[in-house]
Amino acid sequence: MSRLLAGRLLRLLALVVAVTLVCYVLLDATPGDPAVWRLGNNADPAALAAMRQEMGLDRPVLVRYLRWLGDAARFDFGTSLFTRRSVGGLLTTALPATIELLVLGELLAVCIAVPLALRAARRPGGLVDRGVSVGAFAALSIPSFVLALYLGWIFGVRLGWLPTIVSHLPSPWRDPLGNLRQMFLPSVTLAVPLAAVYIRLLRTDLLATLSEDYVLLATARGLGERRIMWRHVLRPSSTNLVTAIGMNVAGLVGGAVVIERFFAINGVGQLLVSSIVGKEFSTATTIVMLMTVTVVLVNTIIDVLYALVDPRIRRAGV
Amino acid sequence: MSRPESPPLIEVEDLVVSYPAGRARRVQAVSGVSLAIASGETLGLVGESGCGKSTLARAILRLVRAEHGRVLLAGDDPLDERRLRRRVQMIFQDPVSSLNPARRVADIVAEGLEIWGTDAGGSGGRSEIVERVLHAVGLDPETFGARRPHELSGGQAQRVCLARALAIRPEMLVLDEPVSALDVSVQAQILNLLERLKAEFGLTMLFVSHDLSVVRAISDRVLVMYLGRVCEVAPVDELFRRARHPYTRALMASVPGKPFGVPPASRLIEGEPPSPIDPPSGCRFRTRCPRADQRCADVAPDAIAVGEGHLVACHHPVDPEESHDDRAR
Amino acid sequence: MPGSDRSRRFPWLAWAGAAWIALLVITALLAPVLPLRDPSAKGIRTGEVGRFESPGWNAWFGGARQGEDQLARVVAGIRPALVLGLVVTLLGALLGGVLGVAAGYLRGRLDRLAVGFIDAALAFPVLVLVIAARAAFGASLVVIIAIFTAASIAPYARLVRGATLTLAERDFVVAARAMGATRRRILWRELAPNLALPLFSFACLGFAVVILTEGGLSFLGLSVHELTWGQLIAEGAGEIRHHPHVALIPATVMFLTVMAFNLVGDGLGQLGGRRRPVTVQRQRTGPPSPDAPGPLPAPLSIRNLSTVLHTATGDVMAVDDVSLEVAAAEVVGLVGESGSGKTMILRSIVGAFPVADVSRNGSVEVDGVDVLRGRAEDVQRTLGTAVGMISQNPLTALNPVRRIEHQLTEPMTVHGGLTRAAARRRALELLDQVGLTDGARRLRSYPHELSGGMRQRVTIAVALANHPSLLLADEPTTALDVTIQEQIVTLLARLQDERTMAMVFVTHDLALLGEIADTICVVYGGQIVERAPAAELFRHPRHRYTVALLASRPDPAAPSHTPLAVIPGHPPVPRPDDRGCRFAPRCPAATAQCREERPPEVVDGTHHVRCWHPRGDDEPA
Repeated sequence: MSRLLAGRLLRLLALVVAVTLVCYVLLDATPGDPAVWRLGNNADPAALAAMRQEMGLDRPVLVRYLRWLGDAARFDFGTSLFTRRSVGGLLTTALPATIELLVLGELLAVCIAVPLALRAARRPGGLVDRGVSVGAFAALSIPSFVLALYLGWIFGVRLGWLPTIVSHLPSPWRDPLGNLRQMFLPSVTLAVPLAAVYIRLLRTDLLATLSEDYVLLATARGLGERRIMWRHVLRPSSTNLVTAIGMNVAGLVGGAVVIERFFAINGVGQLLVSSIVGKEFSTATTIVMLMTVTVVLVNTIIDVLYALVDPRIRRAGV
Repeated sequence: MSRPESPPLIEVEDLVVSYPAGRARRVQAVSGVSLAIASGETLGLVGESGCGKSTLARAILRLVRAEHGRVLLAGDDPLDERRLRRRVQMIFQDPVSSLNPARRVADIVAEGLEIWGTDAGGSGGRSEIVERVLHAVGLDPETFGARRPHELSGGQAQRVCLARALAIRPEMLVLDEPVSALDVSVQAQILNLLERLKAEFGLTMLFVSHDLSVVRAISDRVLVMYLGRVCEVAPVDELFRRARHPYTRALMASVPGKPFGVPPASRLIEGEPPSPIDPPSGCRFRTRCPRADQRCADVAPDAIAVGEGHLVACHHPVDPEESHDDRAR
Repeated sequence: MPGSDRSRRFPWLAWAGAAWIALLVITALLAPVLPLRDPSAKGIRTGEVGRFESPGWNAWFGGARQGEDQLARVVAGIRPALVLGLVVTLLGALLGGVLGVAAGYLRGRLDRLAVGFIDAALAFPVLVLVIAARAAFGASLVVIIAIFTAASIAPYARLVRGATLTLAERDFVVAARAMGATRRRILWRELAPNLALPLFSFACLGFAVVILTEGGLSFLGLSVHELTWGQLIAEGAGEIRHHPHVALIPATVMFLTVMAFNLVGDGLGQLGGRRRPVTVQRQRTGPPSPDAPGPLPAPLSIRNLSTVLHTATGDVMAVDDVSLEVAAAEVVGLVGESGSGKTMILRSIVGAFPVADVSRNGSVEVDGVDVLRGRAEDVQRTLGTAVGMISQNPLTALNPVRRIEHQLTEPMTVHGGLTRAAARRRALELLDQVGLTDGARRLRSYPHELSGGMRQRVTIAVALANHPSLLLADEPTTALDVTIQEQIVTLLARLQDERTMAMVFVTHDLALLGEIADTICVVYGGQIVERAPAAELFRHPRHRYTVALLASRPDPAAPSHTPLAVIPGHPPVPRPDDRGCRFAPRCPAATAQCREERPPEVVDGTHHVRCWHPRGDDEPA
């Protein structure tokens, strides 16, 4: 058990180093000189050199990376080259909104997907099934900014029910309703295509489970449809769904960028884009590291969840 | 059904095959089996699931790697496994899934000719040979040549498998439960076909099955396996009349309809086979054997000759006089 | 089984998607010769298109900020979209495919390396790669293609590796190895053709993802400098309040294109064929047959039952005019080959089928309750209390994710009205009765922790939970070894006797029925062709099929190598419009009458036979 855990930790570290190194070197290769951006095109060369030294840009990229890595190991993620704010501070302002967006989006997606998939699988080829699968196709095919456009236009502009821009987001703990009002449209935008993926996955697995003998026997035992679907069919069918939820995390942060931009949410995605464009080595690399760690952690949690969902895995796995 | 006079076509010497079973453990599916099959002979191999009979069949063709022991073909060890497979062909239990769903019957049958060259199939061109073997297995090449595997019934698919194997004129067929997946009314067709093909192509056969009646109908000699070991080998009539191993007797008594009688000495065996991951010490059958004693737990029994070509691996073989003749039907 | 359970049709929606893609390709190819305006011409200068002109005859898709003709711009956007999608998909599928096949087929160190790469690549945020590489190498189409390709290798590799691993274990690949095929040959002839369809299907979905992702990047202002749909939409998004058409028309075109690729990909995926599953459903039932009598005390009474499965390959007459009465404590055996309808008779009683669309006609009464037309609650209660069922495969008969305790007590708490504690006590008794020791531990087990024989004992216990008056056993021993089969059959016979239950025992093994059944029904082509007391059936089989079936088993008294009696041909798929006797094509005694007219049911005491020319007692078997 502890050996297994140690092995996993080692792999995580290797992955983090690989990913952050690639990120750092790529950033260094991008054209543009932060010192020039800071002092302007006409700055005199001596001042530029001084600024580079102050920013630490005069040393080779590998040295700078190793230094960042060493600091990061002590939870010091450096400071922004321009605003001089600490990266930790930047993240604490940006993280909550993004985490909330992702969690709400995932929750919403699962809540939409599970009942619809159950309804669809009950009668494959039926009206509900065909409706759901066409709907899922549409949801998969719609670019998220187009969906946001539609939703904002309908609920924000035409009906005026919900704000189309997130501003001064209240804390979810102090003013949950006000918070939800603002986060609703962004979460729905994130959730709809996700739900489509989940519906398709779950429907296929439900159909496979439905052909198992124990479902036939449950029917033969006179159990009601609802009981059979929720108690007997759903759980053994959800391993792939659980995997997909885990696999999505990396991609989701990418998807969230567009949504954050659209709804003007000051989240990690926006911060990442701006820090890459602005060659903010520390900020960008830290965010990338955070994402990698999250992906690996979520997948570890998923592995544990597997065992809860399906006892057959318990013996073979941990 | 006397002892084979010609030298054995296939000799298996002390074969051991094991599989990984997680956490650096291994399961011995076959634990030291030796056998010989004479040219032109049909050896039936019976046993329950997990006894290692299918693994043994596959190990003969080197489809699974043996940990120990060797397989001799006509007296020598073919170091090149592909040369072995040119002369020994295999037939599988599920005929439909052993045909590539993306190809047509004529191409499937010609597969061996493509691998080994048209000369392997005797005289004639590729299409001639394909037509000839399809006819030989009772399929009309006109009708079936262009079909795909999913358009065949189970019996037809098994005929195609036989045609594919026979196209390169092998000397021996290893048949792994060839009729188990087929309907009862189709089983007889395939069994009769096998007998005819054996005569026509001069084949030697290893016939693996769990079905005693089928094995009895088609074999010259029968070998009984339990948990990776050989229990008993004997010519077919000898075995079904004078089985000596308690397991062989129990197996016969379990066949529905009691076609082989219920010898008074053999009680119904209780319990289920132990896990091959952790087999019992000594005789593997002792945990379910009504005759087991301390010696069976301590020492694994060696095969002893109890008659003409009749070997039994048991410390307490059943008296042959407790014969099966008093059939309770 | 033959391919009848596979639906190999390309869905019409996928055709629609393919048509849309074809339209795009043709338009893009013909663009230079079509009478389109210059996409970069500013309409406010040339005077041809107005600023934000609404769609109309002059400009079908309207005008943009500076009077650019939107139709011309959307058409101009097809090429970059298709080129990007096509090149990325081809390269990604090729590189990922090669990596996946190599890893999945050669295994070993290469596989471990590949899996490590795939894991890392999937964890790496693509967005970072895109932004950084774009900034580093400029914003040309080539750069975007390179980045997208790099990002798409891992998903393709993962898909292909998984598919290869499964395929490599399939019998036909093992068979090719046994033929002496070389590795290269197995790769190209056995694996590649079977990987092509899933790969192509996945590639279509990947194509859609490429177009979507490019749109998102354009929206963020991070894509190529060429004119793409994403840029048109991003440009129009600011005008959504007053001039929605500027964003919505290109958005719709992009949406339809992505959807088209998704539809085609999914259609191809379905071509690969999936098994049709069992579904929980309501069936269509016909009107009650006029001659249906009042309730009988019999545990099971089937009158003129016909069940038609409406499948993709046509209607199957799974059960054809079956009548069967099972008295209390009677054991009735149904024997037949696969597809004969013996299992479908049982399933018609409990109402669970392999396809969604089923019609049942006639009447089925269990303890006097009509389970075809009764109220749902009554039917469920009857099935839950009066009927117990055991199925063929003990591996799949128990829910793998629930403990034995839940599965065993559920019928007692749902229908038997027992409390949890009482149900648990009864569960322990039941386990003891079916011969499982150490019941308390077994209750806590999951099915995979038990052996096949033990699992079958548990399913028997579940079936007996509510003291059913009728036990339905569907090939309960087929998946078991003979020595275990003997144990289970002995157990079933004992329980049936102790509880004076009626039992319907379905099997393909006639000899097995000789050991347990009072009455044997021979099922062929959806019909019960012969019914007689067991001993009578073995002694005087009358139907030609029964005669042939008995003769086709090896005779234990005959010397080995005796040729077996053979029934030519193979069992039919019964159809509703079949004429005559379904056994006629294989029957040695068939006449023209047999082929044209349905045979009558001939009754001789307790011996029923549906045949024009039943075998006489004096004829040799």
